[in-house]
Order: sequence, then structure tokens, then C-alpha cells
Amino acid sequence: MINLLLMLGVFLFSFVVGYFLISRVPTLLHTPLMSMTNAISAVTILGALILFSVKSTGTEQVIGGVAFVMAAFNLVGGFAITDRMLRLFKKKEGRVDRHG
Amino acid sequence: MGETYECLNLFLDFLVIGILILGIWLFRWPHWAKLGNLTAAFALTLGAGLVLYRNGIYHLHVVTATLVVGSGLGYWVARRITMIQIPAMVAFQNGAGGAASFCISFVELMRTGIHLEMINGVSGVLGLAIGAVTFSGSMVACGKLSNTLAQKPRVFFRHTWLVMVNFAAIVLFMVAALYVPAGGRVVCYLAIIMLSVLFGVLFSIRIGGADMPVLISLLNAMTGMAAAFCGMIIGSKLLISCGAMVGASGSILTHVMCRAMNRSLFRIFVPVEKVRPVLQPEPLAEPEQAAVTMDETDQGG
Repeated sequence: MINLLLMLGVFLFSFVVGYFLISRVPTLLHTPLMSMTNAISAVTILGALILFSVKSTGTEQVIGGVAFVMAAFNLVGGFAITDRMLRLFKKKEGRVDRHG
Repeated sequence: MGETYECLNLFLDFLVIGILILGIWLFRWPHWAKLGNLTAAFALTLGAGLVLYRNGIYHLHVVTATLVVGSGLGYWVARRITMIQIPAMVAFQNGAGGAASFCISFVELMRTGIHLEMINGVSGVLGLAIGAVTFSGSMVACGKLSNTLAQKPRVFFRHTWLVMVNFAAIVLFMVAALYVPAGGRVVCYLAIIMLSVLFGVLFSIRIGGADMPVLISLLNAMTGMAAAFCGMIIGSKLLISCGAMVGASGSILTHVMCRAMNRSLFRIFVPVEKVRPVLQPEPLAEPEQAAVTMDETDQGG
């Protein structure tokens, strides 16, 4: 029961924090932000890792393996694409270049 | 001793979440955004390390092989594609994330099928459905964005009814999955996946043109939710937290985009079909909508 409450608390807390964080992001950065949150949603890879922490049957291994490939694809690809987008931004605004 | 360990674990969880928050926080300034991206990536790596350290790994070869294949493919594709293909690629990645979460929910539901607590059952089934809807919806969106499918919205006969019936069927199977004995559950789970995939297709095929970014954003929010529910059944606070954050950010972005285009979210997903006679399925013929599309192209050009 405590665990359940804690989970719900974490859920609500993250939702609220996410709300406040995102509402201050400038419109200019919404597209890269969307791409990055897309990459973050590949956090299910942790779930796949937990799945493989005990002995599993053949079917479970196959489905888990598919999940693993998908999640890794989303994770690495998502961050790589966001990086590319942000690099594009820098070229456009030459004057902020020195910060990078 | 045990309590100290628990507290430490909780603290480490919150540390990872804090780093992730820092990453998103850096997105407020364009010149820090790149660092923010790397910070978020670092947070997730740290999270993976934490999970590995805590739980260990049983099938090392499977994990290593799939990890190498998945991430190598992801990196390679992300580097190779042209700028024009990026939106389609983001949609595709989103779909991959959705597929991953419904696969994980499925395995976990099968595994704990006999002694399933109500809350775990509910969140598992929700994760299954949302993951599958996101998967097929994103794939349709990807097809539309990469011109494999026709870009303009396609409305079937009695589309809203079809969607409603499909949704009702999914809910029915969800409830059934919670109450039928263990043997029948697998059938219910499979039915939920099938129906949800169909739902995703029905739901996103009628959206097109200028509304596509809204669809992608909404699907992104849904992947986050799927990840959060996935975390609930597995019992990982990190997953719940990251998922909920993505869900929140996706919802806000969806809202902001709708407002920027002066459209209501409801009208985008349940288009003008109701107002017009059903016999004339040509949504772009609607003057109001055509005007919006033209505005968008004006801005783009």
C-alpha cells in the first residue's frame, strides 16, 4: 500500500514538474524538445533490463529482445536526432556560438 | 541496515530524476539546449547503470546482442537521413518506443499472471493498449510524413462510429482481462493488442496536412504514459517518473500547438464529419479547414 502511494506520488510529482518545466521553454525550441522527450520516453529500456534480470523462457526472451531492439533504437536515435537539430540551430544564430 | 539501503536506493532514484530535470531545464535557453540533451542522455545511462547494478542480468548474451543491434541501427539511421526525413523518423522512433512498452507490459503480465494485484493488472493492461495504439498510430504518421501514404486525411464511412465501437471493444477486453481466470487472459491480452493497433490506424489515418505535428506530439505524450504504466507494473519509480514527465510535456506541447494554430484538439481528432452529410467524405473541401491549411503554408513559405 505504501508502495502504491509512493508510486502515485512519484507520478503526480513528475507530471507537475514536467508541466512547470515545459511551460517555460521558448516556442523556438519546441521541436527539438519534442524530439528529446521522444528519446526520454524510450526509458522503457530500463523496464526491459529489469525483465531480463531473472531467468526467462524462450518466448519471453524473444519478445523482450524485440522490446530491447525497439527501445534502444528509440533511445540512441532520438538523442542523435535531437543533437543534429540543435546543431542546426547553432549555425543559424552565429552570435551564440561561443557558449557551446 | 536494510532501511539505510532502501533510503540510499530512493535517493539514487531521485538523483537520476533530478539530472533528467536539469536536462529539460536547460532547454529554456537555445545555446544550452545541446548540453541539456546530453544531460538527459547521461541521466538515462545512469539510470540503466543503476538498474543493472541493483538487479543484475541473467541473459547477458541476448541483452548485449539486442542492445548493440538496436542502438547501432538507431545511431546509423539518425546520422544518415536527410533533414527533410526527420519528422518521419521521429514518428518512427516514437512508434518503436510504443512497441517496446507494449512488449514489456505483455511479458510482465504473462509472467505475473497468476498472482496479479489489481493495480498492477490495471496499469499493465493500460500500458498494453496505449503502447499498441502509439505503435500503429506512429507508423501511420510516419508513412504520411514520408509520403508512403497519402498525405491528406482519409475518412472512412461512419468513421467516428468505427472509432467509438473499437474503443468500446478495447475497454471491454480490458475489463475482461482483469476478471477472467488465468487461462483466458492471454487471449484477452492478444485481443487488446490487435484492437489497439486497429484503433491507432483508424485514429491517425483521418488526420493530415497541417495537423500532423499535433498528432506526433499527442502520440509522444502517449508513449510517455505507456512508459509510466509499464513502470507501475514493473515497480520501477524511475520509469514512472520519466514516463509521467514525458506525458506532461507532450500534453502541454500538444495544447500549445493547437492554440498556435487556432484549432481545438477535439476538432482535430473528431473532424467536421458530424456537421456535414456523411456521403461527402472530403474534409479539405471544408472552407474553414482549407483556410487554416493555407495559412500554414503561408507561414512555411
